[in-house]
Formats: sequence, structure tokens, C-alpha cells
Amino acid sequence: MIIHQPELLMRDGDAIVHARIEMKQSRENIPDHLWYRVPEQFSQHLSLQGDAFLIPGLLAGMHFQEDIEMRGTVSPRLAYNLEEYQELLHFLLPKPVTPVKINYSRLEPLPVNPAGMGTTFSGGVDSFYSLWKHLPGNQPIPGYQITHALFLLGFDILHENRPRYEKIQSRYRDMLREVDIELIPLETNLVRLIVPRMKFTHFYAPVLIGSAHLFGNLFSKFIVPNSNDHWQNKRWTSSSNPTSDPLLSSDTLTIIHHGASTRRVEKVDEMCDWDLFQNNLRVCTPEDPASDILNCSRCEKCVRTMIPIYALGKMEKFSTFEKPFKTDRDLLWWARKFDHTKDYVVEVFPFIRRINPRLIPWLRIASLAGYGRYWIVNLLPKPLQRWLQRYGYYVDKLNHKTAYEDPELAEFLRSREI
Amino acid sequence: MIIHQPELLNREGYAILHARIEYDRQPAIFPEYLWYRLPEQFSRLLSPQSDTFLIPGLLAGMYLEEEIEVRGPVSPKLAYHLKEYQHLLHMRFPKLVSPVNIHYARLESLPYRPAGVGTTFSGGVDSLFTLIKHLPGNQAAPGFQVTHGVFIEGFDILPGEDRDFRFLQEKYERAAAEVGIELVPLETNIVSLIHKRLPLSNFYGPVIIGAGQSLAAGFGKFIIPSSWDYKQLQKKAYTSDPLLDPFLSTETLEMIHHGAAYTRVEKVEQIADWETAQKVLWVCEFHKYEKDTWNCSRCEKCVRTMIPLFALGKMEKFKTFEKPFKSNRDGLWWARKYSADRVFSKELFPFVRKHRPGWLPWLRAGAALGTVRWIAIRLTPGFVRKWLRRYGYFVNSNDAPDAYENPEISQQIMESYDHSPA
Repeated sequence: MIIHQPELLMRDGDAIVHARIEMKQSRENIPDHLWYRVPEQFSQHLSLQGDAFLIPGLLAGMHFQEDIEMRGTVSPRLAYNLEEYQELLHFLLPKPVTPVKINYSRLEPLPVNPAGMGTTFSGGVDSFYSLWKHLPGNQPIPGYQITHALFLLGFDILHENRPRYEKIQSRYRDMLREVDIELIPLETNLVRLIVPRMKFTHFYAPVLIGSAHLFGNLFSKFIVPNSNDHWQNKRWTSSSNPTSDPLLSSDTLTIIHHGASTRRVEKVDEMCDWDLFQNNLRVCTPEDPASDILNCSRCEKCVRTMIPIYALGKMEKFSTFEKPFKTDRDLLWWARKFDHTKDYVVEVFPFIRRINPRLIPWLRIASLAGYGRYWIVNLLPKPLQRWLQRYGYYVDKLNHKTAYEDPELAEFLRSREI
Repeated sequence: MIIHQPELLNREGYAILHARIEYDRQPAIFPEYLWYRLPEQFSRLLSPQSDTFLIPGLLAGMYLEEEIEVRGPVSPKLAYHLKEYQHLLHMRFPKLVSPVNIHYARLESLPYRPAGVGTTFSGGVDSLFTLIKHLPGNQAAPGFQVTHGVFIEGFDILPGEDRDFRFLQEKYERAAAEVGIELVPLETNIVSLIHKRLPLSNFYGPVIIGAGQSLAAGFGKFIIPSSWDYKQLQKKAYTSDPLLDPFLSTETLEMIHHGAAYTRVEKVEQIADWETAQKVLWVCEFHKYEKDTWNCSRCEKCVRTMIPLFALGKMEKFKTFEKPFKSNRDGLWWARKYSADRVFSKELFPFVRKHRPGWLPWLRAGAALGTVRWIAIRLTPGFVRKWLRRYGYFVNSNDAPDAYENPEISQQIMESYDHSPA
């Protein structure tokens, strides 16, 4: 596999950094080009190091067991750490990825001394928490206060849902201005390397960290908000954890995996009086992408988030839930999308017992009913599941060929090459 | 608990970096001064930062549940990460250590980034493996090639075993020079902070990293050879692993935990043909340094190391074993010190099956006999053990409360305070 030298291209008011990918053997649905796109005003922050492409590209190389030839410049520190990173990924996820050799044409650090501190910001509990902990009021060390946040299209919001992305982006841009943080909208097709061949929930980290490296001229530190905490990391496997993420640091950019010491319910507890959190929390991917709703209030993630908020007596302060819990009985909604495999159940009960024990019986009933439902849904025979797909059940929209691609831009880059 | 500003003292050809420790409630046998001592020619490596005393001092604070006041400069990066570090230690050892508040007088990093790359050099399998992987032939990136090996007295060699330390130091200096690195002999009493309170086998991480930080004026990177591989780390809790060690980095000194991707037998295989390893390997728990065969060849660690060497057919090349295996039957020696609870036994069988399958029946017999012996010892009543001590059994050389202290050096430091102007 060859990852070519990244190039910068200005087009229609946007700056695009892209690199051509050449696989040794032709593979289905692998992009010809990996690309990032940002509004032109941010172009001075962009780096043309190979790091931003090597990090996600490595996953494809490891998956297809193709050695990698890097044509662009790579940070020596990153190159050193990638050996351990590959071993660690292979140890955690032995089936989908295997270590490969990387041949570097140039090992040099970026000749800059950036001062910014970035993070990804999706509007979820984890990213809000990392933001909150790195605001001047909570973080006294000046070098550790966040200055910029990346909001991604082509990650949890697909390219085809651009209107929704733009609405949320403008909302978050205004919100972050209130705390002196600049929002950078960033589009990419990196996820195409991963989905549908590897589990996105296992391998999303290189996408976020690759994006951070794109802004090599801006960031000296980049915070990756955790998804799994230290307790979950004992049982769960993911490419994003406090051991693996820092290995993707370069000589000029330190990657920090933040928040794993705090459980999700504790994060909600800590931030529940913060007005920005109350008015902008987004944990949901609604079924109708055209809708303006931030949180459907029915999916597992919405319910899982509303439970601690309701228990804390703050539900009415949160304005982004379509159908907030109003009575204790509403907690039974948990059964509807209950999923014990997500490992959050174990933290909910002790938390609620401490904060609002009155709710425990309702939660017990909901989880019992939820367990029943979960097993029925998952034990349905495959033919029946396939038949139900025509009615919209068991359909994974993300497996579509262009789910993580902007076909127009992909075509443009291809034609340019020709 | 107060960790005072570090100070430098030159005495008798040595440079001593020390800091006074004040406890809220003075506990018994806690050291009043923490110190590092090295030959004067290396004093340029010593760092004026408090990081080197805060890292091990934090363990004492967490153990005693005393808030910490640090009077000297501390790296902002270290300060940022210590919260998460404490959380993880507490999560792993909730009964032994609890998070405490740390108050910093000054958050500043060293004003320059040194170029040296250090590693601990004990002569064991892990440190030799890390060293060979960071020599120019194996490590292409120049910034990651080891320049200094740090050999510590006051860790697995006690201050009272100074003669043994000098004996090995001389051998190691020669070996280090052969591979183009410099050996830094470093003495310290840091282990006194945790001795008799926290098990060193679990809490050795901050001790090693504290020692690395003491040399921060010369090192930009410090590599900690892993004792455990990823699989072992999933099952048991330690204070040195690829997650924790990097938390103790500063802006100018990066801590790298190296080697967890390899099992111990894989490491042995990688160093088996390396002449330096053949000359200096030291793994023994009951070392005697009268001659060049300083590995007793009988203790669990010696046997555990000799098994893969013999399986690879390299035994005779390793000159530091007193009684190297010579025939398959020697595998029965394993029974003598076999520990059924040591995780390393598991990796030996597949390794031997691959490299010397004919030896397996002997090893199995050794392990079976060893298990019986091990159970018998475990079931020995306490009073019998006590009685057996008079004959040298069940005796630990580091049992004394001051085993990790060198009174002579502490005295020198105290005198320097007495003579300093008020």
C-alpha cells in the first residue's frame, strides 16, 4: 500500500488536503484519495505532513496485511510509537488487524512550535465533559485550556445529511464563542477505510487523531474525549483508550485521552447545572436525518442520558430532548431500547441509588423487560431479520458504499489525477 | 506533607541531589531526606526540578493520606497528569493508596530539552532487550537510540551490598562502553518511602521513574523496560505499565514504557545471540559476586531464564550462570524453586515445544514435582517458618526497616543543613 505525498487544493472557498492511496491488490470500496476539507479561513493551520494520512491509512494496511510505503514526511516520534501501537491494536483486536512494516521516505518533525489546544466536539456527554474540564475556570494550567474544537462531517453525521450538520455546526459555533473557543468545521472521508470491513466502534480513534494531525500548525495538544472509562476498558476493547491514543502523538503534537477516570453518570452530575450543556447536549442520531431534533428521547443513548438527568431533578432544564421524562413511570422507556452489552447498566443503578433511590423499582422493571426484549430481538432467525429489512428494521445505513464519502469531491479528485 | 526545594551537595567526589520531607504526623521510620547520589562527573545530568521527588513522594502521600505541598518547581505537564495517575493507582490498589490534593508553589518546566536517551540497566532480560532494541543497528530514529544506562543501587541491590554493586558496575561499564553508551551509577534511598508499607513488587514504577527524572537535565527520553507483557498486565495490577508510565512525563523528559508487546521468552530469544547479553546477564535473586558466574542457577528466576536458553541451544554461550543446564535431565532443577503462582511458567511450555520438544517430559516432571514442593511450603505453619529462619530459610535480606537507607549519606545531608546559614 502506498500513501502518497499530501497536497493542498483550494476550491470553492474551501481548503482540501488530500493524499492518493494505492493498494497492492484492488480492494472493493477503498477510496482512491483520502481527504479533509475545511473553510479556506483555516487553511493556514493545515499541515502537509504524512501523519494525518498515515494514522488512519495504517488501519487499512493492517487489515489487508499490506506493508505501507509512506511518500510524505512523517514525525520520528510517531514512527517510533507506531510499532508499539500496532502490537497493541493486534493484541486488543487480533482478528481484524495485524502489524505490518512501514517504509518511510522522510522522517522529520514539523518545523513549527504551535500553541493551540484542540479537541473533537460532537456535543455529546464525553466531549462536553472534556471541554468543561479544560475551560479556564476548571483548568488552572494555561497550556491545558482548549482553544479550538473540531466538528466533523463524515463521522457521526454522514455527508448526505449536510443540512443537519450545518444547522448543528452554526449552533455550536455560537455556543463555543461564549467560552472563547473557535469551532472548526471539518469534513473527511477517512471512515471509508474502516466501514464496512471493521467495526467503527472499535476503530474510530485513528479518524479523530488523524484529523488532529491535519492541524499540525495549530495544535500542540489535542484532547480525545474518552468513550469508555477505566472500568469499561478492563472488559471492552477499542482502538481509543488512554494507552493507545497517546502513542499517536508526534514531535509537535501530544495526544491526550481524557475523561476515563470519570463515569458517564458522574460527568452528567458534574455538568448538569451548566447552561451551555443544558441547551446544547446532543447524544442522539435521529432516524430522520432531516429533522431538527437533537435528541429523539427514545433511543438507548437518549434514555441512558436522561435517566441521570431526571434522577438529579434537572430534566426540565435540558431543552434538547424531544420527549423528556416527566414522571417516574417514564423510566420504563428504558426497556424499549435496553442494551446491557453497552456496559452502562452497572453504573446507573449505584448512581440512582445514591441520588434518587425512589426510582430504583422503576429501573428494575425496565431493565427486566429490556433484557427480555433484547434477547428476543437478537435471537430472531437471520431469514426473519432479512425479511424485516424491507420494513426498515435491521438496516445499517452506514454499510452503504457512499455513506462516508462525498461522491462529487471523490470524482473531482479522481478526474484531476487523470 | 511538604516536599522541600531540592538541593545539590558535593561530597567526596559525589554529587548528592536531595530534598527534605516533612510529614503532617511524623510516622515511624520514614526518611527525612530523599536523595540521589552519583559520581561528580555526572552531576551535569542532575535536574533542579522537584518532579524527581514528587513522583515517589506522592506514593507516601497517598499511603498516609496527607495532602502534599511541593516547594520546588514542578512540570505543568506532570501536574496535569497526576490527577489521572492517582485515580488509576487508587482504582488498582484501593486499600493501599488514596488520591490526595497537591499544592504547587511553582509550575515550571526545565527551560531546555536535553537530547540524551536513558534507560535503566540492571543487566536483566527486560533491560537488555530494551537496550538491544534501541541500539543504532535496530533503532533507525537517532532520537530514540539509548545514550545512557542507569544502574541503580538501592533498588534490587541494597545500599548495604555496595561491594556487589561496584563489582557489577565495573562489568556493566565495560559492556556499556562496548555498545557505545555510558553507564551512570545512581544510588538512592527512595525505596525507604514505601519499604514495609507498600509492596515493592507492585509499586516499583514511581521509584524507577523518579530515578529517571533525577537525570532530567541530561535526558529527553527515558525508557522503562517492561517487566510484564500485555497479557499479564490484563490480569494483575502494577504501577509500571504502558498506560501509567507516560503519565509521569514532563515537557522535557518523555517516559516510554517499552517491551510489553513481547513475552519474556521472546525477549530471551532476541538477546540469545548478543555477545553483550551473554557476558553480563544478571537475573539471580540470590546473587554472589565473587566470580564471573553471578547467577546461582538454582533460584526460580535463574531457572526460568535458563530454560529458554537451553531450549534454544545457547546455554553454553552465557557465561554468567554458575551451573548451566547441560543435559535434558537438568530440567528437573525447576522443581527445586518452582512457583506455581508465577505467570511466566505458562509461556515456557509452548516455547520449549517449539524449540526443543524432546525436553518437554523432563520439564513437565520438574513442574509436577515443583508444584508438590510449592504447596508443601505454602502450607508450612507460621511458627515452623519462624523456627526455620535460624537455619537461613524464609529469610529476606531486605527485611530490616532501614534496608534501603544509607545512613552515611543521610548524615552528610543532615550535616550540610546544620552548617548552612539559617
